[in-house]
Amino acid sequence: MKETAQGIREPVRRTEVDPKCGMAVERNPTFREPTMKDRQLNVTRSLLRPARHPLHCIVPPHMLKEIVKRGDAAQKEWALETLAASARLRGNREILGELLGLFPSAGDEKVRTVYDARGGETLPGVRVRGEGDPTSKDEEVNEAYDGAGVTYDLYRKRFKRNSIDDRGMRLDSTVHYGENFDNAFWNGKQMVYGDGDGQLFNRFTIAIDVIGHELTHGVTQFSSGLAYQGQSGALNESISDVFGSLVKQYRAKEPAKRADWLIGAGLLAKGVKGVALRSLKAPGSAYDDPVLGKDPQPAHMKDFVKTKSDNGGVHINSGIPNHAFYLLAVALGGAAWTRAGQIWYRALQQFKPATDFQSAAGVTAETARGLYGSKSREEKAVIAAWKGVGIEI
Amino acid sequence: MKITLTVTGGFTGMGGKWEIEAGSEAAQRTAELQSLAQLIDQARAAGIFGKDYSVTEPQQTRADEIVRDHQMYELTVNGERMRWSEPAPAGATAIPSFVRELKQRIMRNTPRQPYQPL
Repeated sequence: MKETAQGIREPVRRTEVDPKCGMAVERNPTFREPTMKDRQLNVTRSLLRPARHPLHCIVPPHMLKEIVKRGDAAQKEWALETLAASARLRGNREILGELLGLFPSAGDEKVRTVYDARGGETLPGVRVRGEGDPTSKDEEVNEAYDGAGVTYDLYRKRFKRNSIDDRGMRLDSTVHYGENFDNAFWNGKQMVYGDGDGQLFNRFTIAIDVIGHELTHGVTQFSSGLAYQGQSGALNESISDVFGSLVKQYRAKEPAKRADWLIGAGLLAKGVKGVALRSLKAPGSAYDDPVLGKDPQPAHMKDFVKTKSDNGGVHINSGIPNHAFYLLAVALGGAAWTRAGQIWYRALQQFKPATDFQSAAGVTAETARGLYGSKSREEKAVIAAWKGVGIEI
Repeated sequence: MKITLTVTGGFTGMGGKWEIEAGSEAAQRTAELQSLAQLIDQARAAGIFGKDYSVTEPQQTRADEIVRDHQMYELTVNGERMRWSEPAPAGATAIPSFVRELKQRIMRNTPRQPYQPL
């Protein structure tokens, strides 16, 4: 047995050149069932099974990846087998690592892995906690792990979504990224959190809505693919804030009217004049500090900020759809992840990359009508919420 | 020589600005700032000014390589500019290590100011 870069134990395989295509192929490899460790690493039978399909020599990798994404179950399995075999034969660990991300987790279980960048910027870093592992001594590791778990649960239990991609994608997080790094981001594959500088910002895992926010960028990427520029970018940011806030409310089991509707409460270091980074309830009021400046978010279209920086103000104008969601959730009452959240989540699946605020408003009203009926209280509340931020449907 | 570093975007959405006059009395107080001029000369020699290291070809960027909540940095020295993104987008040219060193020294030794460009 040998161990791969991902820590997977697998049998040594013999390879020969196939006379039909001139490529190396496996002969008589030993088959084994995936172990619990494999399952935690998202290794399914496909990665462990010998590949024998005659098309291995013909179909290029980019087409195989498309089949993995779009094919039916049998096609996906075949394409994964082929890619895995090809990667193994070429000794291409990078491709094998990429493949691991394409695999669904075993069943409906969440599969969380936390890595430690140890102050560097190489991702993902050193694996420090996997699914089911005992609590770490490192607070950030546990916060990233627990926050990803609550976010997964909200999407799974309340929105019937199977992880970020709705196909059981692994939830990978890296903590301790960079030196005094004042940011958290989604890199297209995983969440990344900085420690903060300690002067202005605390560690970025401190607030669970930060974790929900970053993970939701993944959900948006796999749903509508909202472009990260201008109004669609601000909508992208808003969706992350909305569901980040819902993650926090879901964990606290609090109704819309009791929630603080703040994003990043606890993230600002002691001495900074502010309560959070953003407020969905009162955009523009989260902080006013001599060093950080004043919260620039508008709550209404009349205050829409035209700027070239920040991809056209994606973190600024998100205040407008943020506030529309707040108005809707409070008007409908109860837990925000129920009716208001359902409308927003289902609308997100209908958004297009270029959807702007006006289009989003129309889609959310249509969604409310589809879910609760024409002229329903919910549809009227959606229309009123958007009107409250200056958008008439 | 006036050096300005700005940051915009990121999860916080909070812009920041650091300014220092290299050679000024304030800049002479710490060793880290005294050597700024050398790093700037190195940057000039490497031809980094006028470049935007955050740019990639959109058609070459796959969906799973698109970073959200990235930060944009801009370094200006006497009107000459360069830009980069952190983290760098897939396929972008990496910034030279001395740019990172410049950034760290400026941020460590000069006060941050609010920055929200329109």
